[in-house]
Amino acid sequence: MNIRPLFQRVALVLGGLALSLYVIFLLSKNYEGQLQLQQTLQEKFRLETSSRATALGNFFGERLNNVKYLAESRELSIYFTNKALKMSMQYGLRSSLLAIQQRFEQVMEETSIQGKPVFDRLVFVSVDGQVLADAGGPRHDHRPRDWSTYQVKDRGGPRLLQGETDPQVTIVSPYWFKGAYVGELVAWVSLQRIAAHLVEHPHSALVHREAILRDPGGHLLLGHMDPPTVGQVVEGLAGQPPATVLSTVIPNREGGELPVVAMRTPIAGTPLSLLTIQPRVEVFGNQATVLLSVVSPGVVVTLAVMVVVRFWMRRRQIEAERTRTLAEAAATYRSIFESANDVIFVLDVDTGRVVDVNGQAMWQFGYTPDEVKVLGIEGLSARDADGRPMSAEGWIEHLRGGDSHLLEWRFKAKSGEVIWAEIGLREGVIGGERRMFAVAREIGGRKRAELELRKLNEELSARTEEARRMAVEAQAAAEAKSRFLATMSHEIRTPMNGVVGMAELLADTELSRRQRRFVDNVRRSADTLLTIINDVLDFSKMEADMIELDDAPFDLRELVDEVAELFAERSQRKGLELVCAVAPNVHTALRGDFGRLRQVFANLLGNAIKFTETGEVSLRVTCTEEDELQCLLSFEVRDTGIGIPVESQERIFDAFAQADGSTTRRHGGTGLGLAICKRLVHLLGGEIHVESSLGAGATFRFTARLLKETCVERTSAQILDALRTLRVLVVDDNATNRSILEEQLAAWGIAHASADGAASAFDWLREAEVSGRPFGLVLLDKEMPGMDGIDLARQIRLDVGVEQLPIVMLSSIWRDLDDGAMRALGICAYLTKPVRQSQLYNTLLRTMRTDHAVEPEPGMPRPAAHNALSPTATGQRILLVEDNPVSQELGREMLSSFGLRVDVAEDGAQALGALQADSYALVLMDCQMPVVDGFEATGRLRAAERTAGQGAHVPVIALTANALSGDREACLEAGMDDYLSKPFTMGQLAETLRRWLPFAPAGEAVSAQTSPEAMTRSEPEPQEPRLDPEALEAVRALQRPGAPDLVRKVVSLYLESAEKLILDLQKAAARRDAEALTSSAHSLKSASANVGATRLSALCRSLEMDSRAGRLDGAETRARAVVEEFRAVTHALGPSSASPTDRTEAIA
Amino acid sequence: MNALFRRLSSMLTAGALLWVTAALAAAVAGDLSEVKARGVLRHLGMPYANFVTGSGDGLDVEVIERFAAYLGVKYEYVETDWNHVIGDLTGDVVKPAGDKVKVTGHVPVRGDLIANGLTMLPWREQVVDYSVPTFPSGVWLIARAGSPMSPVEGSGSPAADVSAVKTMLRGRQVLAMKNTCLDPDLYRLQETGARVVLYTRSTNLNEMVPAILQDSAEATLLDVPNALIALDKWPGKIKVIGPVSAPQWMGVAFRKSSPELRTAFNAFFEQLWRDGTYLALVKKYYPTVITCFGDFFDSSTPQVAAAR
Repeated sequence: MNIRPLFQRVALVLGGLALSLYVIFLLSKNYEGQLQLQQTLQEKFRLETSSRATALGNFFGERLNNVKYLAESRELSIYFTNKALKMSMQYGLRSSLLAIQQRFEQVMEETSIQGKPVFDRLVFVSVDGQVLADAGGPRHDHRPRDWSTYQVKDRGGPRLLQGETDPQVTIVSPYWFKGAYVGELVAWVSLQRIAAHLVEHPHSALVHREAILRDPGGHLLLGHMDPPTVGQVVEGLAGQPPATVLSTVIPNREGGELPVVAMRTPIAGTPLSLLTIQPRVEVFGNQATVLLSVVSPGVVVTLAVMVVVRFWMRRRQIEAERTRTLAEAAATYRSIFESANDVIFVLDVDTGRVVDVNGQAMWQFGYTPDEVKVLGIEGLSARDADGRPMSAEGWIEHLRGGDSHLLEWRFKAKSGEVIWAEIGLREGVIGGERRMFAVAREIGGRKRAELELRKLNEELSARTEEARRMAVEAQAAAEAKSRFLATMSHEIRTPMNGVVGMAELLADTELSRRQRRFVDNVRRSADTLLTIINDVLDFSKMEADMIELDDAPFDLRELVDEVAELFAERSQRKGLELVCAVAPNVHTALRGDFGRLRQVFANLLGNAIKFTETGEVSLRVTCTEEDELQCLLSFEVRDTGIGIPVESQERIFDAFAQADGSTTRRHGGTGLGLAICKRLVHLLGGEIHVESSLGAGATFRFTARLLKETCVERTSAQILDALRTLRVLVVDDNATNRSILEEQLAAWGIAHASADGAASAFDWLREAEVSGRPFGLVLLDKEMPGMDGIDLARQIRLDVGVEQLPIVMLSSIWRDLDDGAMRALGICAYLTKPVRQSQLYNTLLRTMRTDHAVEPEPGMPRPAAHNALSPTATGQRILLVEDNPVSQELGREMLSSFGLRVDVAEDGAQALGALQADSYALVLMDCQMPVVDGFEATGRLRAAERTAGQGAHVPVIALTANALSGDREACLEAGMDDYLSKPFTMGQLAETLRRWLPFAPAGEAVSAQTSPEAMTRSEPEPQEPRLDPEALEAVRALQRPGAPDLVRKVVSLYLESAEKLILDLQKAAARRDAEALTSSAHSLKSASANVGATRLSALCRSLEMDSRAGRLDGAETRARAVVEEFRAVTHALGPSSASPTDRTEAIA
Repeated sequence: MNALFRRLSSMLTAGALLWVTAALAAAVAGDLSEVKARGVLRHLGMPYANFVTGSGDGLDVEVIERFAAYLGVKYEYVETDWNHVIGDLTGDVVKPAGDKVKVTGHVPVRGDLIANGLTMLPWREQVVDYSVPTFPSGVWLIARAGSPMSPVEGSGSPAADVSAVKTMLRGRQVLAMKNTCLDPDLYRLQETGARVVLYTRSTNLNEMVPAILQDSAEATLLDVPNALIALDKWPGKIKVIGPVSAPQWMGVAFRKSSPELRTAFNAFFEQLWRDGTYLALVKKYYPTVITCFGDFFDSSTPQVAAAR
């Protein structure tokens, strides 16, 4: 048992001994190295000193060379040559002498060390002792010289003069000319300069003190040393071979001793030697002594032994502390082990034998710890599912398996009860033996809960699966339904096209009253059916999630006006007041799906009119919130109708639901409209709800979130500029109408006043006269109780001071006044309510700009307005591609009724053939056809056009009964230009054709050879007469007796202004300046209408419209047509006009 | 006849008036104001010693360049030769006869001043105005080294030395050049019995020494600055025999109608002298001349008196 410490001690001593020996070995090597270093440093000192002496030798060698080259210089030679020619000093020789002097000075300057001349003096002494040239001398050398002592007169070269004790080295060089000695060149080199050079030499770290001695005696010539010290060193070196390094001691400045090394080295080629003395410590540094090298190992060994003893004692102390700590830890462990609430097993990790178990085993299993040790884990465990015994090997495998140290286990108690336990396994060491610790915790309650939970989960999964299956089935059923509905609607639309179109055509024919009633019923029924089909189709698309929103810029104000116009007639028929208003602060330039928005408006307004018998229906738009990019708009549709009971208000937004069955029967409808609205509003990012009570009307409010389109909005500044000076009087008995007009006027910054009837209006007119703030315009409602609008207008004309006041008549009914009557009343415009804001705005502007001639109402329907194409468009050839015979018949009839020539192709292949054979202005192309469908036919047509080049492009308009989303995109993608959904009305067809059949430009659609003249000829006779005699008659009616001829004056003024306008128009057309063209066409249009030149006015109007829309193709040709027409008008005005021929010629 | 006479006399009067006007214009022309108005100073010169080297520089070139800058005008070098140099300055073709001069014709004026080591000679002073002396000079006799003529020993009296040289000239070939400072008439060489050989191959005085080295003559007249350069160029081949003239000076020549330009030059030259620039230029082009003419260059101002 005691062997280990003894062994440790012996090893420790042996280790210390080995370390000591190693240290001694290292120190001896160090000593040896120091001796070598000393020798090396001494050698280095010797070499350094020798190289210094060599450098000095080279230095003196260079100086000898300087003198040699000077003696060979051209200047000396020229001087002696000229002297030999006996030239006198005065005439020429002096300049030669001067050249020598300059040469000497040049050498003095050029040979320098660190900017200071090497030579103290350069002298040329002639043979007779005269100084011929002397550089440096006068400045530095004042000593009298006996020049004869410097004249060596031999044939040798330059050399150092021997035997001097001066701190200067003298170099002499005898000069011979043509074999005769003629003088001596003498040079002095300053030793001081050399000393400075030596001390400051950058490569000499070691050399510290130097002196130059005169050989052989050792006379000190140069150096900051005491002569006695030098003498002592020189004496010490005497008799030694050259390059011997002497170690000696010299007195230092404090009177002490300084160990030094010294060496004397001859300077080659000179009678000088270099003595170097340097403190020993500078040469060898601080080297350790031999004694230190011997003593050091002993000290090291002693220290090592002390460290070993200390280490051994410390180790014993640590061992005692560890034993005590272990005993305490064992006691603590036992205490915890026995007091644990879980059963803790300690097992042999290799055999699984139970080594120890705590007293808890007795409580849990009913066995004492000793019984447990005997039974082992196998005896304590229940059997597995297969009836096999379970042993501790399972635990060992689990512990080594790695993932988790937890497992569940079934024990069997002494009572036979099976106990579920969770066992935590850990591996550790006790008394140097590897053990496995198993802590078993009873988990019977938890196991039971788990079993129940698992059962519940299984049930839940089964139910979920069932629900999912049912949902899928339901979704499939819903989609199938939607698809069915969509397909059915599509199938219905095609025959509906025939029904609607034919009924429309039939209505335009001669019919008896009875027949007309039948036809009207057919048309109404078809309209109703179409509405229902559209709703069903829309709803089915929504159900099938096939609705996608468009994103396009639009003007909200125009949209609202458009919808208002759409419902104007219906509301008027029922005697309802329809009011539409967009709040002034609403940003109206927007982006979004305006079609869907219009659909919601139409639905709500349609319902409102449908369910209202008296009162008014209004649509108001306000802005709820906005930022830079978007705004949330609030729309309110209010009516004064029958209202909706509270209990029905929730249901009405559900599909197929209506307020109640009786109204369904009375008012009809699918009950899909509001459901569609609700879905559309959600798609538009808003909400919809209704406020109503039975009999008190209903208010539908919805919101929509729309993006702002900033670039197209008309600025209020422009409006302000135009209308700033205007003051308007509003006369209307309806307060809502008044307030809307007031709001609009206020928004444009127009001063205004309102009157609710004739009396109040006259009050305002008088006030204006008195205050000096006259009205510029009256907005007058036609239908008022008491004195109506017509009477009031007539009265105003009779009143003094305001006879000329322009009046704009507003009416809820179609215009029933002819132009003459209106002109007689001074009514300059007639607007049908609801008045579109843009319409009102334009009317105001026009009124301010023109001379108050009666303007036809913009956008006002006229008889057969739907089939009015431009005069030049009629007669053009159209190709209708359609497979359905009814649709063919319908299309042919409709197009013919527009005055167009129609060819029919039954499929795409026939159409391509026809297009190859003939030229057409436009193609109406059905999409779904046998053989070659519309998409493919269009694709081939476009390819052929590309191959042909020349920019040919026949407009192709798609006709499709398929109203599903994406159809339009497919048509455009195939190369078609526009899209018309079946069934379509004549109005829709005419509108579409108008877009693509403008004034046909030369060479494209009509005929390639069309010239301006041909074009004029080919135009069908316009409907309007050249001159409307009524216009001039109206003027004539204003003729006062005795006054100049008013008609003649008016005509003369017209011709004068028209000439200028026509010139402007021609220029603008030539420049393709759309703005100028619009302006001049507009002015000419109005002026021509005043004198009754209706045809010319119409030509100008169409030119104005097209140029305003940027369509400038053929503008010049059309301008020429205007000129032609103007010539004819001038001629027709004949007697009234002054020299018309001159004018037209000037214009042409 | 009377009518003819009247016509002739009126023509002559008109011609005379024209001439007077032209002369007046010429008299006024070329002075300082015109130079400034023109913006260019025209320097008449030709290669001669180191005054105008012919390679774009020279003592006089550098001085006149500085003078142009001083006036604030551009410098322009106008090349001429010894035969035409006076005419190019004054417009008069002149012929010297001893100390006198004769106008023999007129030529266009080409320059504003002559700066070319132009020695101040009495005849020249009749047709041009000189600046203050700018350079010392004199004329020496230079002979080939092998010439039997022996250099005079300076006696201390220039007149005696000139006399000693002239005594040696009898029968000797001496090279000279008309219309220059080496004009034999100026030194009455004919009277010495010397055989004067006029150098006519060119008017370049730099060619005089090479000419005697090629046996064109035994000796040549040479002005001192040129002689010093020659001694350096051909050591041992030539020797200075002695002076043939009293000490001379060189200066810048102006038209007599350019007094303001001359005054401006004198002021400029004094400044150049005082600030040491001129001495530095002289050292650059004539390194040995300062020692030879120490009296001239040691003065702190240009020696106006010396010229008179």
